[in-house]
Amino acid sequence: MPAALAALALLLPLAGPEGPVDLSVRPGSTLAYTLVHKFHEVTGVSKAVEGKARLLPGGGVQVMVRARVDSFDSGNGNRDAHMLEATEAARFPFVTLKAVGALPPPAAYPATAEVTLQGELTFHGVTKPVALPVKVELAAPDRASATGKLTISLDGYGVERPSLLFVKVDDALVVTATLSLAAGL
Amino acid sequence: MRLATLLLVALAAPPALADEPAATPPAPGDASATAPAPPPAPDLTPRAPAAPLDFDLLPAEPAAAARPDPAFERLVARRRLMLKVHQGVGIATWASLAATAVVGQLQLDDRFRGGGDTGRYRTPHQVLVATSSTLFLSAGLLALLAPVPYEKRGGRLDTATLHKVSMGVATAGMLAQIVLGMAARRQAGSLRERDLATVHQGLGYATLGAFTVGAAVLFF
Repeated sequence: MPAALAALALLLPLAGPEGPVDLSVRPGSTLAYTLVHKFHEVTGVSKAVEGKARLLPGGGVQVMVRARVDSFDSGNGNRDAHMLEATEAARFPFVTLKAVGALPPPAAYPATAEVTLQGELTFHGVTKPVALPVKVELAAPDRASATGKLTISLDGYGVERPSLLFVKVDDALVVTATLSLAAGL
Repeated sequence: MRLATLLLVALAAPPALADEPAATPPAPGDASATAPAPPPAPDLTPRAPAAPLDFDLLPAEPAAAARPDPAFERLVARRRLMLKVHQGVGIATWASLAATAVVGQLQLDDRFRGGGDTGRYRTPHQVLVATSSTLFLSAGLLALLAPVPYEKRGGRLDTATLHKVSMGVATAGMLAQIVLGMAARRQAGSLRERDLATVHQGLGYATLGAFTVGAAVLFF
């Protein structure tokens, strides 16, 4: 009986009186990739990011963010078309991140927190576990911004690396997320 | 009995204690003993998340998206092959154009600038002109005829547009050079031949320059 009570006490913070808070990704948020080629570096940016972060009463956070692969713009139409071919965007049109982490509510706002999200990134039809360090700036209980950077392997996701003048880009692709979040959107 | 009790006590002792280093007092002047410990680096090892990921915060993706379309994929493969060959032919075209300009300069010097008008560079120049023109045309056709399965963003000034504009200038230069070269030969022996040949020479370098710019912009 005491053991059951102790277990119940451990579970209590997960069922807070206020319930979860959903923060939606707002316009102006970006996802960017950076590719390195022997001759130059390429950055493609997507401004068509959709996503949500669910703040759980127990201090946990669930995150789901995705963007259409064809929404990334590197400033060169030919190169973007080449990227769509390499990533088979017609078959796998989205890149999606689902992750969880611990983000206890701060004692006061504004506040800054560093969170390492553990989750899965689905890209090119392949889902792999990832760890994403994120810096979260909590402006208010219903408003936040987050930035994070993640390096993935193109080979690991089965993407045939694009090439220019018969030289392939490096295997590492750096994904940077800059998200603005707010409740009620 | 006493031995068994000792053994039980030893087994019951927390194992972590055995692994902890003995606490030693900090040495005098040891700054590290008083400095705050640096924050632990985040553990970036990808692992299965502690909590399940069976939540969906966004509407489901279109289900039909993952269906392969063989006809579409054939177009993509054809485009990739054609553009890969285009790059190879483009590199060969640049080398051939550079050689044509060099040999053309030698031909001009031989004929008009005290070279003795031996004519020894004429045939090599003509062969290089034919080679460059063929390669140039092939590279252009490979790019122009490649299918475009994925719609491209257009109507803006980017490096792909600069590449096309530069190659358009180079194409005009190639055509003008061929006409001028033939016109100069028709005026052989006259003062006009030299004038036409000089313009032809300038256009040759301009064409090579436009082609070089068109290739170089791809690195930005």
